[in-house]
Amino acid sequence: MINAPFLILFAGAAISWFFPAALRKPVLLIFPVVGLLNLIALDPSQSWTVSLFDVELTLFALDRLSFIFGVLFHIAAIIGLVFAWHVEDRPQHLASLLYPGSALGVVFAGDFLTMFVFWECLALSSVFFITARGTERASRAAIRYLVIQVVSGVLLLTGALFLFHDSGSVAIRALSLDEPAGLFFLLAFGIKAAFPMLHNWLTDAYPEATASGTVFLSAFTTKVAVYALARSFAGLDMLIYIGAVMACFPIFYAVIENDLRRVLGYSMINQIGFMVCGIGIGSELAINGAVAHAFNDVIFKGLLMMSMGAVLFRTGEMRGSELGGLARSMPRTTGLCIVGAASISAFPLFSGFVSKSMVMSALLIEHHEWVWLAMLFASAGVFHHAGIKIPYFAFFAHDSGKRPREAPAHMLIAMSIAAALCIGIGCYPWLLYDNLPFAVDYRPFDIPHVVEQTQLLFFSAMAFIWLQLNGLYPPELKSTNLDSEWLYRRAWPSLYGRLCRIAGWGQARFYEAVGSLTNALAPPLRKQAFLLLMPWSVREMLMILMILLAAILFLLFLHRPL
Amino acid sequence: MRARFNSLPPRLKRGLTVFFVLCFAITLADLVVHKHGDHWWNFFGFHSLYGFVACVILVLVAAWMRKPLMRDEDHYD
Repeated sequence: MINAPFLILFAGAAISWFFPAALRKPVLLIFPVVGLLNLIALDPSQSWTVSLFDVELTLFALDRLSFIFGVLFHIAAIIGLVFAWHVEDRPQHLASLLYPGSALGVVFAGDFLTMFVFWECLALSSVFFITARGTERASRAAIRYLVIQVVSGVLLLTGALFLFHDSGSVAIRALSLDEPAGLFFLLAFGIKAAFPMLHNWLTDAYPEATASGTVFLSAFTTKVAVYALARSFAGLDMLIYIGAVMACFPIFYAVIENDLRRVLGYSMINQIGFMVCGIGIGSELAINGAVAHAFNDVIFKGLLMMSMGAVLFRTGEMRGSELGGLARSMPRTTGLCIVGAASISAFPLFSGFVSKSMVMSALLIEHHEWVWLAMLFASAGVFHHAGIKIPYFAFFAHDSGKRPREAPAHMLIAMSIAAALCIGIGCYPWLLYDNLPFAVDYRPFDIPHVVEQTQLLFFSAMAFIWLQLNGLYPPELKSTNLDSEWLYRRAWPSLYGRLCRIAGWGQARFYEAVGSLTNALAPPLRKQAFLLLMPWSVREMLMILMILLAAILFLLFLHRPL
Repeated sequence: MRARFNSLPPRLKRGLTVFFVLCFAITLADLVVHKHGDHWWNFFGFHSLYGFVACVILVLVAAWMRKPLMRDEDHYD
């Protein structure tokens, strides 16, 4: 089936390889536009199935859930490519089609093996956006990112193999944690969705990518995981609580984080928390809310990432402590950033409001009052760190003295497209509602909702002003805050070093003991040399060989654990 | 706090005063808006109070978290 969405973007990457850099950019942009038109025209009954040995693989299948994600990923690719118009290097150009193509491959996959292949393609293609930064720090972050993403893929493959072993089919379906495969899938999806304690790859790697790379990265990987969770774990109660934790804990980190793109990384985990929570509730309203919020998040988080990317591109700086006062020389970027900030904060008439309120309403309908209160806290918090902190410390606050030029025209165009979508969907949500997985019977603009949300946000802003005027707001400081990455960047290497030293000491003692034993036994044994000339049975020979091999293995293990 | 407020540029002071009046007005809207459901939090000014208190707690706890968690910028390098 030649018009499968992923094939169009992969073909675009292959064809663009042969064009010189100047021509390559328009060529790259043609393919997601064609892909989007193709997707809209596709017949939902179409599918593409191939047989591999005994396994039936579905490379393409279309329904309402995959359709909306497919549209989203095409739009994100188009906006990302316009934003990245200044980029000249070939790896990033290829990645800008291969990465969205892989994401499309996952959402249109009909079985877990196909999903696994595209899952790994996502990891491999996206890493180029980080390595392209060209710094030692970015390269190391890229390796950590890749290892964690590949582990997620391996868990997915293990789950698929379990599933095949148990049921003889790898078709994508709803899963439960009662079957062994379920846990592997949940972990695989959970890593990519940045579940608590599995989240640190996101805040580690995204801020290290190039100015335009982070825009791409923020759009696809985590949303693919949200899609996968919605597909297989809708209604899993545990996800409600995981989502609530995801929505709440990152906002504390976001308040004290200095790197503004890392603040947005934490904010992204917070927003995915709302989606995961919606998926956990599992009702039609909640799933619609989760999917709609994923759609809006890609656009408004992309807009915020783009505005910060523009600042990074112009100033080479991303630390809040070194920025401030840029509104004077970058007024358009400032305005567009504020649109993104209003959208993520869920102000009425901006896109976040029409989707987040669906998840919040679903929580109350299903009687999760305490979770609702936690999510309300997270809603107030997101306005605080993403809605106020990002624009305030970058464009206002103290004057850093920097007077960079306004962002280039292509960046302003990309940001304007995203801002128009934020306002368009915010004012006329039926653009989005009509394409959600289930029919929508929800009125976002009823008066109590609008009033309560406005009260919440206004008084969050009031708290910010009050804290600032009282000198209680923590200043931006050049710093690193310890997070779960400390476990694998500091604690494990240190523990491993100690284990090696203990093993080395044990090994030395062991060799000494063996040496003195051999010295002591050598003279009497020499007299018994005839033992070696005795006829030995195959069984005895094998036994001795096994013992020798096991001893060698043990010695090797002592020498280098793992 | 009053001293800091008075030291702000006049335009900002005017803007903030308008904002405070708006906050007050939107809270008063609770008197006329009929709220959904029968929840214990459906009392006058809940969302205003919750938004303010939640953000103050958020910032104070986050500032306290710096003590155990904050390291040098090049901690991992």
